[in-house]
Amino acid sequence: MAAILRIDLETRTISRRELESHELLLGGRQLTSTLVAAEVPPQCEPLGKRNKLVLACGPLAGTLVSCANRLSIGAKSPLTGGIKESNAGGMTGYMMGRLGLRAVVLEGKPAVPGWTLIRLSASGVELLDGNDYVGLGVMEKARRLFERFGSKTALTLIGPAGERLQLAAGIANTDPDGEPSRYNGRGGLGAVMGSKGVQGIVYDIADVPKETFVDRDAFMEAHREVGKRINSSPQTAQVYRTYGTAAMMDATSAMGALPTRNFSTGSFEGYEKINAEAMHKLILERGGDGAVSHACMVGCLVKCSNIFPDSEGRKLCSPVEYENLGLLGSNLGLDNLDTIARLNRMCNDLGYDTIEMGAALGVAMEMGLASFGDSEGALRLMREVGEGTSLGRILGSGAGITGKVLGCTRVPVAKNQALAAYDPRAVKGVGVTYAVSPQGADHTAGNTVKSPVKQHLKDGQETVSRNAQVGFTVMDNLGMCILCSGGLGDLGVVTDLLKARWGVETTVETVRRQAWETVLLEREFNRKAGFTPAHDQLPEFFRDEPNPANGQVFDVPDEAMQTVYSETPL
Amino acid sequence: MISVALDIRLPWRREKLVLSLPENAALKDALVAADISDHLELVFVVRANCMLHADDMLANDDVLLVLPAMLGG
Repeated sequence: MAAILRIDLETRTISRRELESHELLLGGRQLTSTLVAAEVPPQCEPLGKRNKLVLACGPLAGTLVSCANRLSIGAKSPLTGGIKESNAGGMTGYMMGRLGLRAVVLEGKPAVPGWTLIRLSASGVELLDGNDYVGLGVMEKARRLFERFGSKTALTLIGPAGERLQLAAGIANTDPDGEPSRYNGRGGLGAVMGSKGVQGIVYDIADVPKETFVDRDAFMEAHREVGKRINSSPQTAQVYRTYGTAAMMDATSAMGALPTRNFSTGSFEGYEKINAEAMHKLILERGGDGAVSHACMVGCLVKCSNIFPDSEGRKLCSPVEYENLGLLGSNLGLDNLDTIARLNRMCNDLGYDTIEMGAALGVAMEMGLASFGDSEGALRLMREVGEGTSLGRILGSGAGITGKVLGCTRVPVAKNQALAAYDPRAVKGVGVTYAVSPQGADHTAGNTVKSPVKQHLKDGQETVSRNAQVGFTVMDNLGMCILCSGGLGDLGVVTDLLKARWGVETTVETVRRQAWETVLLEREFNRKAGFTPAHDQLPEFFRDEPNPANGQVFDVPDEAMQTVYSETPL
Repeated sequence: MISVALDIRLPWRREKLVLSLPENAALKDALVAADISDHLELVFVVRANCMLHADDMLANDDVLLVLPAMLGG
């Protein structure tokens, strides 16, 4: 059983349609983008009634297969103006699967201003009054909702950022510990949820029957094989599990790819104070609530997450990951893990995307609102964001708007969305992805850092970007975490799982073809929304200013970048 | 022969080595000599800010950083 649930916030009507047999493998980004492309007018106001917010899990959600319970959320993005999908870990994808839902579509806009809380359970859908939660931080909101609905529920929430319709607003999901810090962070999707007047969704699986399988034995056999592979791969079982994604920092700093002081260079002199080993050592020294390894989803064997404690051993932030260390750390010239964790926690509690806010703060520092390396200055700016002052509202609108208001010409955005923690002058393939992807600057749209190409040379980058975009979209469509792909290897085991669960055959080739079709569909939506090849650009300064760490500019020709979508990937 | 220094910074192994290799040695030869060949897909090797690949040729006095390969997060 898998259904698409629709909730119209204007008419307050609810409808549910079971997927037909040929639709049973639809999920994740493929489903969000298919529904958005089919039902949202490309030129509509992203915060208006014609936009739709689609939450979709993958076809393995609701099972205990490692890494298979991601939650995709899609809509027309108020930040980029194009189509957007952002996915997150946490418990909500699993809960959706257990509730027999493949997607929840939030439509319309309240006729009368007010806030709704949605509860999904075995008894159906309830639209509850959400006005009592207005203005609360995400953590306090989660605490009250767990108190009201029970600690075994899971939550999807916006914070003050989403309520204010801020363009950097994300959507939080609770993890197995009830921590609401698993973010569909990118693209301002929290503002879309806020525009629907929805404070949050409560998932309750009490009294829900156990999951069913067409062939339980075959499913369990493939399930065991996934576990065996993840547990025997040094990458997933040792690197990610011991050091988390933060282990990337040594390589990016060595390659000149680590954003430092608003992308003014790609190597940070203080990286050894904030890298994976420094964080690992500090977490172990402090003990208490701290944990160097932690699962963000039920069933996850990779456990790349962590719990960063304060000096008293109390949980300060979970998780602290590579992108946040890059954007909220080196990009601000900060070499203090406590400051980075505090900034990260503030973003999480207020409901902001850490990447977008790190980039916005970097622009603000470049324009003199604080100094690079000034911990107190960075925290002060974030407090302004939380208080909703005029400056705070500007920063919360993202790096692009912050740059325009402050008169900055060095603004690290593509399609108005902040670049992640890979300098495109050092990893040029990801620079191509940032520039041309319909998702805007987003490393999860196609990170090429492991691709077989000379990362600092211009040749062949369009090809590796194209292939990476397919590979990452495959995982997004399956509702699976990209971080297990190294350990998983051949995806045949996943098609075995799909067949055993749903009785529907597919092949790895079909899954890859559908991934590419998803990207092309998104690209077509953007074309109809008004995007042209002129929008497939990185900021000029990446082409003009050599990265002092490696002497390189971004020099992949426009003509080469425009071939990304005209050829079929390998 | 050429002399190549390896600074191995892997979670499962931390070590500094100086290898003597033939004149036409490639990176893969150095990784075999350092007993890292089993983990070829799992490491990034960086020389002077540039990531190397298995068939890249090495030169005398090269200094190579051997780091865990990641996908970010």
